[in-house]
Amino acid sequence: MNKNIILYGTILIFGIAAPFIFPAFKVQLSILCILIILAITWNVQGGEMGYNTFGNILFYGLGMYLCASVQVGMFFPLGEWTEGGGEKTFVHTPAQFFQGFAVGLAVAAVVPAIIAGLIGYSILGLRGHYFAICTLGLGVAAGEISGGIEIIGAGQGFTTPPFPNVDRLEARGEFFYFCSFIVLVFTFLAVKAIYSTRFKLVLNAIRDNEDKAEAMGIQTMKYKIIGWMISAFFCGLAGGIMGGLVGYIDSTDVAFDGREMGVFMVLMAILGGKGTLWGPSNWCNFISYI
Amino acid sequence: MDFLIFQVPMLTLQAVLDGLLLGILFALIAYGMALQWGVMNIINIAQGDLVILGGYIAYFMYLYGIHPAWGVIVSPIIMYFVGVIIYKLVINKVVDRDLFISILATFGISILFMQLMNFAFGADVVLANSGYGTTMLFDNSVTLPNSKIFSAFISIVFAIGLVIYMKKSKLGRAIRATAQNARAAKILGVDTEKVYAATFGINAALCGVAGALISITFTIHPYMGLPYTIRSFMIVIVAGLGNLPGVAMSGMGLGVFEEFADYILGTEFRIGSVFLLLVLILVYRRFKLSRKREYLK
Repeated sequence: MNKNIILYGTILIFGIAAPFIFPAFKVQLSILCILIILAITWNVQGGEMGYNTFGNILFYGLGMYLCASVQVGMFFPLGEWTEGGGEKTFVHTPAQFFQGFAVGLAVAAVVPAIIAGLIGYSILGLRGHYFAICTLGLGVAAGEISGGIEIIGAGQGFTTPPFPNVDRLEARGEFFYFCSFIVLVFTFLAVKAIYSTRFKLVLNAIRDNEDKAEAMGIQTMKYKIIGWMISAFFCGLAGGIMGGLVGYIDSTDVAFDGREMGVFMVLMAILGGKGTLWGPSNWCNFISYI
Repeated sequence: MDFLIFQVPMLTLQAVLDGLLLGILFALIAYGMALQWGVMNIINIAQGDLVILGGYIAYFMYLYGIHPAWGVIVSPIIMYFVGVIIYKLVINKVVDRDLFISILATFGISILFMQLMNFAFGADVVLANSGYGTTMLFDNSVTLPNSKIFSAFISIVFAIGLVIYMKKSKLGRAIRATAQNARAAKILGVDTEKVYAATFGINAALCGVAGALISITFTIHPYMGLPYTIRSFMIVIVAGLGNLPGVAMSGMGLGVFEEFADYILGTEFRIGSVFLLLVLILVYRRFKLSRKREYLK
């Protein structure tokens, strides 16, 4: 126990100090944090519950669009912003930017979780590879459809609000790094707390034999939906931060990038070891390093 | 309903005919997928990318002055060897493993092919012009490009040829035996490793034919592979494994659906509607089965 505290403390201190030790790699470090969040939350689904999904990218992209739309839409007309060059005519003041970002993140986390709850009952009834292909279809469909909706920029993409002009040059990188790092710590602690309860045992029971788990009196569907909602919540948060970090949202290449980001998170979790908390994180380090 | 398509009967007819001709092509790709799914129990996400690669072979023949219709002969021969090489390198390591591992492995192949094609052939949308002209029907109100009729005809020829080959030839019988029971076939002297390689090769060859036809009739682009995979997966799950007339029917049905979605929702939602239809079909089947307390597996 004592050892663990030292370990966590070291990592925490390193995480806080990292942007000052490696000032040139702040963007990469933030992406690393995002990747770890995605892999950890995928693991709730794929590792513990045995439901291999390609569809968490849906919540990631949804969070990205929602966060940016709310951030713009709170102060300026969204349609005019996306129609072309809105970031030049409308300028967020720092207060507006941070307020919008905070509200945007909250929306980006809650709405995907609600959507996961709504579609969960239908989708989670599928099993095995049907579930995998179905969620893959869901992610790509969302990308293609959002590429046709005018108000969020359609095919030409959506420029997220640029970081407001404050005196320090380094502020943008540090802000997004600490956002993603705080969310990472929050995710890690939340998932760890969840894993230490009965909930994890239920998820493992579902993975090992769902029919028997149901026969034992566990309402498997309820737990499956809750598990998916947890994933969706953190994926949405990660997506919202990533949107601000990249500064530009494209429907198929940045937001619903099921072919790359969607596969990366699966790969990281599987290479790092299904059903462990640290494995995914370590492999993220490695992949992001490449 | 105040859509133009329902008010003008000729436009409806046009969409139906286009869809049917397109659907026959989809059915050919789906047939390949059903074959290897049934025999090897592998879902090949790289199916669509093999199609696009086959299309590029026909396109390069066109660039060098050969009529692209010959691609229908050349492309499957090259693609057969591509398929066998992929099998030897990757697929034989995942063939008896968990299905999800095979999905992940073929997903990797798909991304690799996509990027390699993008790197080698460029990201332009290309087509091989066959110069076949068009047929006009009903006072020029319905136009059918001859290349579409040609491609549907060739697909039917290849599909029938393959069915006969599977029934009569020695390899065909070995493939069917392996599909029924791989272990028993092995005991009775069938070299299952060879059969698997041949199956994957035949699947790739079918993709090659379909790709050559697509490059003549439509356009190809390195990133267009995944929709073809999803379409063929959808056709196979609607028809069921080993149900060939079903594959043809559901392929044509999907083609017609897509043409109507194109007219009604707009071209930008065409691919999206295909993917959404897949989700809806799976959910529908899940609810239908759950009444009997069964599930899709």
